[in-house]
Amino acid sequence: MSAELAQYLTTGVTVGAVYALVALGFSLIYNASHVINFAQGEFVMIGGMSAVSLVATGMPLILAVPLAIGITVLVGMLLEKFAVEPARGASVVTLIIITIGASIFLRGLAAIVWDKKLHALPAFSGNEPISFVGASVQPQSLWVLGATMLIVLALAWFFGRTRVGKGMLATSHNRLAAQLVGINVRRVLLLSFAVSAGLGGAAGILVAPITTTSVDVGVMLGLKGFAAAVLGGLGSGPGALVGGFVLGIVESLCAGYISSAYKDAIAFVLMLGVLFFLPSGLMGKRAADRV
Amino acid sequence: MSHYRSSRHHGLIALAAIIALLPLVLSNKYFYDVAILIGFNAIVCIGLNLLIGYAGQISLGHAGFFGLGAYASAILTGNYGWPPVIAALAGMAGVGSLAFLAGRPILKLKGHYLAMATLGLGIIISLVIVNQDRLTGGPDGITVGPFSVLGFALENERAWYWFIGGLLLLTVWLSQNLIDSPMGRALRALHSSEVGAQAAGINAAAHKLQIFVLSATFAAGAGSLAAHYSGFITPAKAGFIHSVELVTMVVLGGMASIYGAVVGAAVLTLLPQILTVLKDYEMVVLGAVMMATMIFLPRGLVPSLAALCERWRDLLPPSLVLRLEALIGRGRKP
Amino acid sequence: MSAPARPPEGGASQSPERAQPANRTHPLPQEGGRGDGSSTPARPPEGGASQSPERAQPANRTHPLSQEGGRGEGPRMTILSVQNLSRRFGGLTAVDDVSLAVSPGTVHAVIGPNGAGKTTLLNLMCGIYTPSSGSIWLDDHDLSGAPHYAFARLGLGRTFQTPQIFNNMSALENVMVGRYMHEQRGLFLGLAEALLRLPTLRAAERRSREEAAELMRVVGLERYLDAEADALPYGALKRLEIARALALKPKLLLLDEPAAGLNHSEAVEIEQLIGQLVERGMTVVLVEHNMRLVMEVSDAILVLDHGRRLAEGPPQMVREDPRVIEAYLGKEAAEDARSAVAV
Repeated sequence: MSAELAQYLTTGVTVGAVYALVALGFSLIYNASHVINFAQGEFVMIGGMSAVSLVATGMPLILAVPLAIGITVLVGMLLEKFAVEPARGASVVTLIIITIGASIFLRGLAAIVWDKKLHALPAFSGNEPISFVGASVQPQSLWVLGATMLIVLALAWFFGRTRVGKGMLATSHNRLAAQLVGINVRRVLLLSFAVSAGLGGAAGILVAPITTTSVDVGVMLGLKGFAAAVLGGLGSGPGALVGGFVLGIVESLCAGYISSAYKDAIAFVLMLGVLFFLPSGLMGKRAADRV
Repeated sequence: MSHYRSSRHHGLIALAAIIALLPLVLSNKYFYDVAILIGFNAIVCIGLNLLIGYAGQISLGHAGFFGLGAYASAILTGNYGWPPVIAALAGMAGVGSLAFLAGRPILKLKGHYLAMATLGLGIIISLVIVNQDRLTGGPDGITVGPFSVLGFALENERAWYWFIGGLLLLTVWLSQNLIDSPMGRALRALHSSEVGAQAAGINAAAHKLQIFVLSATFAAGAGSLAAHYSGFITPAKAGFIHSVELVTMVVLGGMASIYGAVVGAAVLTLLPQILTVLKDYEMVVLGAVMMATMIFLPRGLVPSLAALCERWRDLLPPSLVLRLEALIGRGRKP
Repeated sequence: MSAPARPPEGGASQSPERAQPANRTHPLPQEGGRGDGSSTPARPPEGGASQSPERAQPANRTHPLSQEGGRGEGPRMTILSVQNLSRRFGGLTAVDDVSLAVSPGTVHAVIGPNGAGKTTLLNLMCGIYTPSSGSIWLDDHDLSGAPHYAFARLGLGRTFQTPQIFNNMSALENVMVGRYMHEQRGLFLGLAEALLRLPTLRAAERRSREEAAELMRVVGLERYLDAEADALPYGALKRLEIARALALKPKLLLLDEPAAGLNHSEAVEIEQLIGQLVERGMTVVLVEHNMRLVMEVSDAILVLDHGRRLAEGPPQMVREDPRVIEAYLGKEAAEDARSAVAV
């Protein structure tokens, strides 16, 4: 393996992990409510920006990170409570506009609370690159991958082993049946926004030392996470992971070997390709519920 | 029916009267500028409403078509010296062909998937515009020359105002005609029940494609003119945010209502102008307004008003009801 | 949901009807295209053709009309011919090797217990599903695998179990939609005509309104000429769908449970409407649970069970067929049948 290729792959996997976390957030909310949350990218922004400003106050990273995630989770729950819940049963277009409105609202609010400049979070454990099969890997990349793995394991445990998680899964399969067996569907909805905001916030914090963060960072990251979710199959957890990593790697390889100018377009070209030829995504279930 | 037809003319007359009388209160260039912007947005939104409101197919990529039309005019007139009208028509034809090719696979999708695919298409278009910087000037945009029809140049705001006003009336008239034609009924039918429409012999796929191409062409035409008017075009006009603005205008004004599209365009064009007073809070308020109207008036302003009218009609004198209905053009239910 | 409510109603109305002479004549005076409509047992052509030897027919896809003609079955032709149709969903065979031949001017009913494959068969016959095997001919067109709208364009009008009404327009416009294929021009001419509202279009629209209004009168909806579609009561929606289907000027009308969800008197009105349509020469394929209605209007009945053909023939024969009574009508009806024979 050439050093160049190794370098592209490590970059791709790192970015892919972030896309995967955002995509997981999309899928979670989509499963619970059939809403595509266009404000998902703002969770990423809020996580990153909160962590930056908390660290700036002198708070140690180990406290700032959970607190920043907590702030994002709170925003996610407020969003569900005051914007999505009141519009239950509205049409697809209406819900899309509500969540887009929410994203504009949050971005505007962030611009007031913080500012429009670029901010960098200090890397979790230094900036000394590690050499790995000829590629130089930022320690932060290892943090991103490690944390993503932990989060995925935690989610797998949550949905596979806990009562609440199983209830959420059941609700996504059949809302009415879940209601009949006594699952509080409204709480599931709130919880899905909380978890999904937490995922986004975590992604924003993890990536902030590498890419820097700003009030506008959420737009592209959100849209790409969304493309990753479609790529893997909207509503599928494993699909979101696969979609995220595939997107990150393909994007990095194309930027390296073909054209860095069109790096951002790759996500959407892949997404259109999947929609046209594999509407249920790489890992999706049958296309039966396409309507 | 005769009542409906006459109310249709009433609506057009009312709109014409507003356009004719508005200059009385437009005291300076800035007001004219805002009025003209409303006109452009209204034209795009009427076309988009044919697609979203009447045929029931969402597009989150229409700004891409608008931008392509604008850049086609800018490049063909600027680099190749084409006459503006020919350039605009060529841009419309080009965008129509693109919409035809892309629409075939895209319109097989429904609901969220259709939204995503059109979103993707729009973003790809805007990225191409940004990156083909030798042709398009990249992120900084390019200048566009003035517009002229048959040697008659539109030089000042007043000339543009009357031109756009006339064009808006024409667009309203054409769209109303279309909606009341067999083809318009076919579109509304497949929105309401696709299987029912097919049972009536309507080729749903072909019709969705037709209206998609038509509304993309509308957007391209408006884009061409808007580029000439402002004398400058940037990729932001082709971007995702602009697409969202257009869809929001349609939904805010009222789906499946021609005058709804006009009202939505007016409100959402005016709002940021008013909100600039709020400076930093502009985006917050805009976002809040979008959320609030969708939550409390999911059918949009004009149909909600029409419903209100319906509820109150027994209490009001019939003549007044008729006149009000004519004014709001009896927004149809989506 | 409404299924449990139906049997009593059917049962209640069954006995008086049975009291009629078995070989009833049609209530309507002229029998027009129906020819031997009254002497139901003596209807060999479609009944006989599809009774049992049809599987023995050569498998090659020659045209059904030529087959019919070649066998010299008489002057009667087949308007809809379904041959060895099957449809599998995964491991389930919803329709299994079913054949059906419908003659012009007749009412052909398809009955069977819930889950027998009636609706699947109907959806196959109008192109909503594509057959796994077998063929469908409408007149002399092979429509196997054609899209839904193509069936409509070749003269197959249909209604739905749950009315597929266009709620975003008036009742009259709903019917006008049915005229669509007769109004459509070429793409550019049609678009120009529509956008500019040319005088030709205005004249066509006037005619279209008149014809749609006339059809609404035919189905008894003259009261709702100015109403919005979503203001109509359920029974009226069922008629509105029939009017829309008639606006296609179809050769064949496919009615999917036209009486479902209707009360007794509404069902009787639907029955009369079907009678009137047949009198005007319409051919009807009917899927219906209301046995009284089926027995009253049908010339031939195909009984499905588990996706297969259980029996086929004129109402009298089907009613007395022990397999049908056992599999479909149940004990209670079996007693009814016996008493009917006694009469």
